[in-house]
Amino acid sequence: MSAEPLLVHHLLDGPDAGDKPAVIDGERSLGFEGLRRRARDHAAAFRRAGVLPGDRVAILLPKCLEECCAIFGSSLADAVFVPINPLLKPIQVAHIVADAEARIVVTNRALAPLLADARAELPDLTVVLVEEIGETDGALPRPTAIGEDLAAILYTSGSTGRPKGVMLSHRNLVAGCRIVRTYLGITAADRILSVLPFSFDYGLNQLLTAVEQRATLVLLTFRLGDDIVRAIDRHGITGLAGVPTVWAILTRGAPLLARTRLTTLRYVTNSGGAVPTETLRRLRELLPDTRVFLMYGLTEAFRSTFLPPEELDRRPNSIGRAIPETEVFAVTADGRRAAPGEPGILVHRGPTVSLGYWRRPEDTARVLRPDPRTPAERGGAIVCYSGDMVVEDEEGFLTFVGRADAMIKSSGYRISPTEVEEVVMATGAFRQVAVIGVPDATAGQRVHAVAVASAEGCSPPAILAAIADKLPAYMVPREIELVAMLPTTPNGKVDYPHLLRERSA
Amino acid sequence: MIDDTTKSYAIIEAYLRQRFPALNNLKPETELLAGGAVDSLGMLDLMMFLGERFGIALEDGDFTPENLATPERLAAFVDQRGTS
Repeated sequence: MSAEPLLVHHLLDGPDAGDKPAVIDGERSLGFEGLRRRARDHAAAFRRAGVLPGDRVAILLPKCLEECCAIFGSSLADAVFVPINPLLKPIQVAHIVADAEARIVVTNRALAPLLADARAELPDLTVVLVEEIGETDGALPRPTAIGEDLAAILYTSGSTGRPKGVMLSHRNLVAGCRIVRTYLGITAADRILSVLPFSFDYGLNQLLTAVEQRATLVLLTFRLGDDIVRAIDRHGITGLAGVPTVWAILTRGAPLLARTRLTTLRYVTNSGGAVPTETLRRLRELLPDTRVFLMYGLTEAFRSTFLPPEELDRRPNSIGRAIPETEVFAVTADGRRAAPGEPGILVHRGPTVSLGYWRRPEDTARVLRPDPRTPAERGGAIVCYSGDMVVEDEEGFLTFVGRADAMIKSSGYRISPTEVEEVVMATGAFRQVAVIGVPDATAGQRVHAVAVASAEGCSPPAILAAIADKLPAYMVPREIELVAMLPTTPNGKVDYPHLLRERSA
Repeated sequence: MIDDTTKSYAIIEAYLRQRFPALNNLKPETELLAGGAVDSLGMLDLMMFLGERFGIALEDGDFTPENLATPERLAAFVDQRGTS
């Protein structure tokens, strides 16, 4: 066994796994040696393109072998990878590339047009096409990073503004990998299906844990629930990570599942929102041999809790207890540790607490704070305030109560209402707009706009088509509801809670 | 038969336009499974709509990529399977 991994690319240095595939992508695959070799080719190409230690390498790729090579290649090049979800539109891509001050963007020919806005804004941007990354024979400079160095920036939304970059150190990512494979019991015998984007910390974790344990990762971009069922059956998949929408699709939109007994599927995990009780019941009926892990996390601290499958019947609404190596507790508005049964903000202390938001010290200071119980001079650590209200019971099991702010969570994505409002207002058709997340059976919440039309009047369908050009499908409001005026609070701000209450009945 | 298909097509087209505003210039042969306009959640919503509106149960099992591929294929599929 080699030394404990400290850096992301150390995960490539596991025991010899022979010819076994490390990553399968449709009809193509790479073994562990092949993955390491191609990751080095990518690292060499990044260096040739001018990447220096600490530089950001933006990765705009579909889920494919090259994306895995680019992630490890970035680490081998001492750089910081910034995966970008290819569902985003050119404006959001440009925001991430510019905000991260990326030295290069790695993409392929098919996705390169998504860089149109980024190129216009940043004329010196260097674009590396994976189709042009050949084999390298030269030695790479020896990586100089240590575990504390920045390894990745993952962009995620909050309750306001454009997406912010969460800074993750090598130590954060390696700890997340160690913690998750410990409680899921992942070994070299596993074959994990990867359906979530690597721009999402939860999705990225499947790649890192699979490679570390010499398990096989099968990449899948799906459109229909049956695509997932077929992949599980064909590849003998043992583990699947999903968000609530994936379970809605599997239980209501995958006719094949009722006719296929997926005996190899050892476990499924959920994060990115609560699974509705009815969906969970159907899922367990359809997958009688599979253990279900309900988990909770946010990118700022990766993962906080999981519910052991054997507790599922007793506490179907719980998000469980702290993950290994971690303490999770609830804190009241006045800074006390909440008593059992008393609501409080979930606070997380442990090795996956991120380094904060890239170039946003004020936002970071709101989320990463000193431990409210132990001052720094007595050894208190920096903890993460999640912004999620929870209640803890006598045995330390937590239940999610709600968000303390207006952030929308839809299909596993965090959506900032103000980012959608900005695009809606840019159409010029409205005097005022408020975007809220109303409860939805399949999406968790769906984006809903309440607007006051400008004097000329407007036709919402035509305007929605214009908005859909500027936003990925999951951010486009399902409806623009026209009202005469928006309700306001006594101090004149739009009363979001009121709008939401009226539409949640 | 032609009248039925025309009617089903009109219902499906109206739903697609309302639910997926990114499908601009929707035509009978527009590919629904390609491109970013209809995501996986959108496909689920579409299947649930066909179930509710045309009485096609999930268990019927014909929600194949071929039948879901385009608006005209959808219309032909519901006329063959469903009851409106």
